[in-house]
Amino acid sequence: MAGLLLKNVAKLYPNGGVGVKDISMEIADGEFAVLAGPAGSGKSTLLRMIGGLEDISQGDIYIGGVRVNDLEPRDRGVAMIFRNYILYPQMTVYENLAFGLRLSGCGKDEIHERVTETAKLLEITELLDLPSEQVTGIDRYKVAVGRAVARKPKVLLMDDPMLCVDGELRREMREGLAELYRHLGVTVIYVTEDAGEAMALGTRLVVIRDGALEQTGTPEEVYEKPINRFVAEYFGDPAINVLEAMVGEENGRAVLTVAGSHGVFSEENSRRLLAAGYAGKEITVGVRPEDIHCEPECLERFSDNLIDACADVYETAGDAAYMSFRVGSYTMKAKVPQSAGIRPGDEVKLAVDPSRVYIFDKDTQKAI
Amino acid sequence: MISNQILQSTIEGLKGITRIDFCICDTEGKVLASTFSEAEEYENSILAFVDSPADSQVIQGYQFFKVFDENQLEYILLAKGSNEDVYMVGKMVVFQIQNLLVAYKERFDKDNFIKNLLLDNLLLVDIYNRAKKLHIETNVKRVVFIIETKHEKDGSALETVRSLFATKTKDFVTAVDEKNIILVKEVKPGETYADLEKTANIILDMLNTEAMSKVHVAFGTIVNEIKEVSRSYKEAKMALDVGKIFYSGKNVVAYSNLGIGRLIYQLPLPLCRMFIKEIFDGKSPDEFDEETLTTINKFFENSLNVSETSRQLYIHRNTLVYRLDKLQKSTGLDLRVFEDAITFKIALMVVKYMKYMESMDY
Repeated sequence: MAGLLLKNVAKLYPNGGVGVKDISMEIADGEFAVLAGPAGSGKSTLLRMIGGLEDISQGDIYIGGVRVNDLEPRDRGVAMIFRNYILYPQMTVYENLAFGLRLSGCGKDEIHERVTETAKLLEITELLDLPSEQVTGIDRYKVAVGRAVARKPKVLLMDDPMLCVDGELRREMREGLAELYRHLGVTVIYVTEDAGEAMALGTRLVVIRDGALEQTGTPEEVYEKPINRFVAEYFGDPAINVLEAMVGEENGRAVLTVAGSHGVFSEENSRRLLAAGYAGKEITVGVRPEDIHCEPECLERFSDNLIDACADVYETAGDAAYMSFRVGSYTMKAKVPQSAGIRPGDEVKLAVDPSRVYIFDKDTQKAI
Repeated sequence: MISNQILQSTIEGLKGITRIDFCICDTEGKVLASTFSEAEEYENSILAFVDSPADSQVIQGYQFFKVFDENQLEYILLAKGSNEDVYMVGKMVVFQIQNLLVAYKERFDKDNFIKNLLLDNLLLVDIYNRAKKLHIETNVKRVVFIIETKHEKDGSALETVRSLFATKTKDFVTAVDEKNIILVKEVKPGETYADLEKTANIILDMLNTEAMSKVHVAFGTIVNEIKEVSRSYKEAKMALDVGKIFYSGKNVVAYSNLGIGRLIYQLPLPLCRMFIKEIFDGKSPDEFDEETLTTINKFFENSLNVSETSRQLYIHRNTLVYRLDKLQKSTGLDLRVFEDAITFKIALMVVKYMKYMESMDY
């Protein structure tokens, strides 16, 4: 096992393109770090740089305290799993697991030991003698993962291995991966575009956009305290509601006007806004769907923050139900209880918990 | 011709079935593969057996057999034991090795044929004659993939590609130089360029995972006849080069997706210099600051859409308009106008190409 340290790492292409911009971060030994961000943001490039498959233009990468910039991939103590994996045709599962070990120069006995150990860990021992063509579904994925695990890596690098699958298999793969991580205790760096998957799997999130590091932290930290609007919008399904608001000041406290409704900020947000001189200026506010309420007790409790809204589209998602509301020129989504009985077209009042409102600078979109 | 590793695994496999020890030597008595340790002791006996007219003989408790390849003595096989069962098993092993020789020779011939085909070293009539002799179909669709490895003679990469494809009798894996592995793949009915892109990505990911090799993969267009395979190869080669210049972030490049980069790649350098001088009046787009370059790239990415670009850059629409106005002042090109935008885009690509040509370094 080993931790990972990146110091000012950058990837500059000879034609002037920038793949990764000056990223510094530390992943502790045994962490499950998820590099999350939209397609083309540089996550995979960074992962490949860690694995040694892309040259580093600038900065240093340390694995287990050892600078690995000039080491070949096979000498870095890493194993990789990518999104496109197949099993070698006309080889048994055993031979599939042994292939990479043979290439890396392991002896026959060592290969046998590692293959049987890996098969036991992944619960595929009974498949070892089967031709790979006869292996299907989750077992194929297990064999692909097994090829990497059998190398006994210090760091396991995974580039969106579930991208090409969906539905039940994806859920099974995700559960299997979480379990494997618990058993192996190895450091994992995992790339995904799927914010939900990132939140579910990671012990640490590393949010990347346009090649730059936006924020790192535990899933809770990133969700609860997004550093900017992008991070706030990226995590959460349905996404956070974002509105433009005018900040005012009444009796020494910041108040807001948004889509014709008036409200107050929490004490903490109020203090920040006034201290930074936002009174009389426009800002961007964000409210997550689960922080908008229509229950009578909430309307009473947050009576200073009521919004006039018109119910629009109702959709259920498992045990939760989400409703879209028209609020002035905005459409807001709120999580509503099934019992609320709101029908499309109903004029309703919605309450917002002021302590759950995110505030961003309108120009920079950074959290205030 | 057959590697000692293959011989070793063959006799080990046969020992696993028959429980009889075997040894294969060359005609000078040198041990090539053996399942027992004292095989070197029989060198003199082997040399004597080579000179004898017998095809098989029992010497010191071992059955000696001659293995011929087209009447040419190739190997001597030793099988431990002198009874009839050992004799019978020994004959079967000889038969197995002879078949291996035939298979390898055919593969070697095919390999030579494919190499010559790729390099345009064959006359048209020879292509069809030799293909027929080697049982290679001439009228099926094929495509050529080139896998460029970072290191020369990357055996792990070659073995991985062979394991993925060469077992399929209709695909050929070969190499014409030390850094490039070439896959000539039969295209199944209904297979599209999207499928080929997927295959290329599988090759890339498998090589990254298994061989841990840095590679670039390029592929040409689908050809209908064997005589056109070299065209697909040349296209793949060009895709590899053009990809490095214009799509340096991509590890998989298809010739069919090269777009305008392919045209620019073929422009003479003096013409490029003249064009850039006319467009930028001697300045280089390198001189633009990072903010301007990011703005330009994002604007192109969003198909010249001001609202979407400003949204993605998290800047006010007016800020973007100001930046575009500033750019217009310095270059005379208004990126909001399609004609100007395309000129600017081509100019940026020409500059990349010139840089490549001047440095000849990726």
